[in-house]
Amino acid sequence: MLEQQLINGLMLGGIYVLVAVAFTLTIGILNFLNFSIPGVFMLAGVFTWVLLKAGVHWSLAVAGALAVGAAASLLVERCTYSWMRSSDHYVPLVSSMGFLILFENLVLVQWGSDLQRVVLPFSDLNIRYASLVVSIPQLLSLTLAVCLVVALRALLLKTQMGRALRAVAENATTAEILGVGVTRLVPAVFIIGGLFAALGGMLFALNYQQVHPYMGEEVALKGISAMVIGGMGNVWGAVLGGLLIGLTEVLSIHFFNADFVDFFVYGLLLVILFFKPTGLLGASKIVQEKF
Amino acid sequence: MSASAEALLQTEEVEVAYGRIEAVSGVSLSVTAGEIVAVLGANGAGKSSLLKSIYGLVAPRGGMVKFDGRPLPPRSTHTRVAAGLALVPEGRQILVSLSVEENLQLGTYSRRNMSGAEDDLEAIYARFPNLKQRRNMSASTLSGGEQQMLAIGRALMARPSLLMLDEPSLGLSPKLVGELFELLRQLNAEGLSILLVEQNVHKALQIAYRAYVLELGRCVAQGTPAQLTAEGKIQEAYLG
Repeated sequence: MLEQQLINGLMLGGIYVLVAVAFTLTIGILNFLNFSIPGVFMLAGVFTWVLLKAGVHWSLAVAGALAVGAAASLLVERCTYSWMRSSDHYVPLVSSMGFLILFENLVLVQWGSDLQRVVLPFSDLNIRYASLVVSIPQLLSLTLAVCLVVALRALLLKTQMGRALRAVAENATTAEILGVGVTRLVPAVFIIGGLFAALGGMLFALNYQQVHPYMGEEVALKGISAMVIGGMGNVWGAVLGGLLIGLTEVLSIHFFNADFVDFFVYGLLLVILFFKPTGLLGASKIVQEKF
Repeated sequence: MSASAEALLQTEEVEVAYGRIEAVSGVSLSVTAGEIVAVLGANGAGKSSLLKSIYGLVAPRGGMVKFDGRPLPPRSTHTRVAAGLALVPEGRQILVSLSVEENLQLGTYSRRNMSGAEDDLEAIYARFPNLKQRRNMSASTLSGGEQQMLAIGRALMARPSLLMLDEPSLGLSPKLVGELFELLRQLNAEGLSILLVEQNVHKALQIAYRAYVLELGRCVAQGTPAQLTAEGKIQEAYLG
């Protein structure tokens, strides 16, 4: 039934939103496509499974998975971006891709390539209303995605740190001249982005109750598409794009079947880019106003 | 007058090189608290490179920069801003994705003590009423003169004891240049020390207490405006 599918689509979209925001932050502020984000997403998902399986209380498992994600993202910054900031754009891009492969293979070596079932410590996590079913982790992912984006936007627009981040996004040297410690601010961007990606991976593990070493890649492609559909570097664009892709995916399964998912999702991407190359909320003015 | 003990800013044999090209080859200068000091010279004399190394935007290859008697680390601007140095960069470098007010607020970034920041903002607005009118608009809507006011106001928000300006008169109409130099004179009368890099020699010498003349990365003359004009050093440096 259609209402249920719409709900599922929005919930799935919530996860894409988190990943798209993670991408759009490093693109918007540092002009850097961080390919390690799918790896961070996967690590958080896998650690949710590992910790729950070890019998850790769910709240600690969630905190642990997020901490692993943030730490992994910081590691990427320390080893790639902080060294290669001054070099050509493709160097940090390629090395962040190296980290994705490294993370995937570390998990592969440790836990194998099988699909692992996440056993939830709760018996029934569904809310039923009439004939509609909403699972709590799904509802949580959508609510959290929207709330975090609102909080992130407030941070960027209303705080001194946000002004500094926007200054770095426009011109890092000018920000430096005004006394902004750029080298101290960049790790913060990676940690915030890493937390968004990790939250997405953790919620994915709880929602779909399965994890595997390559779970990040497919989601990341949708996340990047969401970012592009919405408009690069625009946080609300990431939200709109993520929800649109989630809905498209679920509805194409509903009306056709699972084989058509990629056809419609990437078809949508192409159609939108054809009519609005800068994305739905992307700047079409000369002065680009980000976020 | 050169290396006195109470100098606010002092450079000792500063050298700056980009690869094998030497831009500054051993320049020593000083600014005493309360002074306006001008650094003059033709294009490519090394004025901007000297300023950038003082401010920590480029690491000097040799020499030392002292501020308030303490040596400054080679490549770190935020420690300088926190210590009381501020730079109005060449070309103003207004952040157009921020509003006028946000540009000013960002000027307080390295201040540990934010008390008085609101009063400082109002003081800037009192000085530059045009900025107050456009406080919530994008800084891209400002005219060239207003942008220069914003760049100076933004630097003042850090409460510096020494303000450094890199070619502030560039691209301004003669009337605005006059206003700019009058503003600098006024700021100095209120106690601000100023280090000014300028191509507009005539105007700079009108307000400077002392000046240094650079030529191909070296200091070829220094002294009061009267001394420099009398000795004909200025014409030499510009006309060779």
